[in-house]
Amino acid sequence: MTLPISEQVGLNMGATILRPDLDKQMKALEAAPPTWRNTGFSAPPGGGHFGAGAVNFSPGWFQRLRDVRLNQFVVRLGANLFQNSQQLDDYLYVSASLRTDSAANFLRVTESIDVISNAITALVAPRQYDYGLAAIELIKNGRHLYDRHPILDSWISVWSGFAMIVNRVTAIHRDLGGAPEDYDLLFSSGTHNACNLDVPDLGATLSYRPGTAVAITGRVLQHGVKTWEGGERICQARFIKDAVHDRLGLPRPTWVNYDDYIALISSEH
Amino acid sequence: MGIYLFLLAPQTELWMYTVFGCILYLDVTEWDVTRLFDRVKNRRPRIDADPAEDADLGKYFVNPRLGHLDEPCIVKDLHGRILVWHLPDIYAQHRIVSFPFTIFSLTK
Repeated sequence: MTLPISEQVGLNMGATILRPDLDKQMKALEAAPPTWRNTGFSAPPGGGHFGAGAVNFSPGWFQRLRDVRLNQFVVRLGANLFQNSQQLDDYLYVSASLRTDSAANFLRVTESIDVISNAITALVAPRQYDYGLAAIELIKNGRHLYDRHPILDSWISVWSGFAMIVNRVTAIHRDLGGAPEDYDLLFSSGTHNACNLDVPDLGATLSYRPGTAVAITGRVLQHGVKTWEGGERICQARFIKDAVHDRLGLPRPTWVNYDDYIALISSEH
Repeated sequence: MGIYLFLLAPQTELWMYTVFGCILYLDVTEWDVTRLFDRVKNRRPRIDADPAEDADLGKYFVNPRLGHLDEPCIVKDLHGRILVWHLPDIYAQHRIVSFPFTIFSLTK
């Protein structure tokens, strides 16, 4: 279904469609042990327009609880114990969240945002863009996947994946999945009118109102959102999985350096 | 991946100004980010902050205390490595409006 570009219609649809699903998710979280990723949700009284929740999407990542280093350890152990042991099952998997019709609809409707995000990435982190593009092309050829899924044809982002986070404060944290040189690309959306992204290692608070993008070296710098005001908050956080790039034989990008940009606009070049 | 198509889009000018505007407004740390990373512990985040680690890092890496940043800007380390790109208002209003709509599709 193509959703009309009309805030009123969209918000009404959200009130009727989104809330039951997110309410269900919130109930499930009540039984889970509290971690920083499943706490801090704060929908307005009655659930508001968007409810609250978080969903991760990836065209190719390691299954949860299946860490590469652990796998390598198991393989080495197995190879020592059993001479004819099977090879390590270290295929990549299309995330379950992406294997749905709603995800296909989501990707289609947000295609323009993917294109903008790719363009921003190409400019602020050219090497990361190149390796991200190479990674997605390798994933799409299917050789590294446990099984291919048609949704891959709709994935145009150069990022390993993204999280959609709705009406949640985010504890100060570092993202452990990326390389130190990798940026995360955070995009603020929703209906709120005041919000800050805290970066305590820099003693900085960045304005983070809807329409803002922040590329941050999230493996190195702590960051988080303590609160927001004036409406509901949606965040899309795009990330690179360093283990996935490693699995695909891709190097880490070099650090992005200010001097490279000065050289671009220098009269000597 | 669509980047060349994007360059033809009407929003390109706004986007390019925002990104290049960043380069004109920069803040600098007094430390080397690779050395900071050497001291960062790979612990899972906790719901509460970890002041012990912050205090430990603060001994060796002076916090630049940049304060509130409202405009497009970058933050770089001692050797010019760019740590943060702050890009306010880089997405057009109609995209901000349309983006939340897509949340609804996730529940279908």
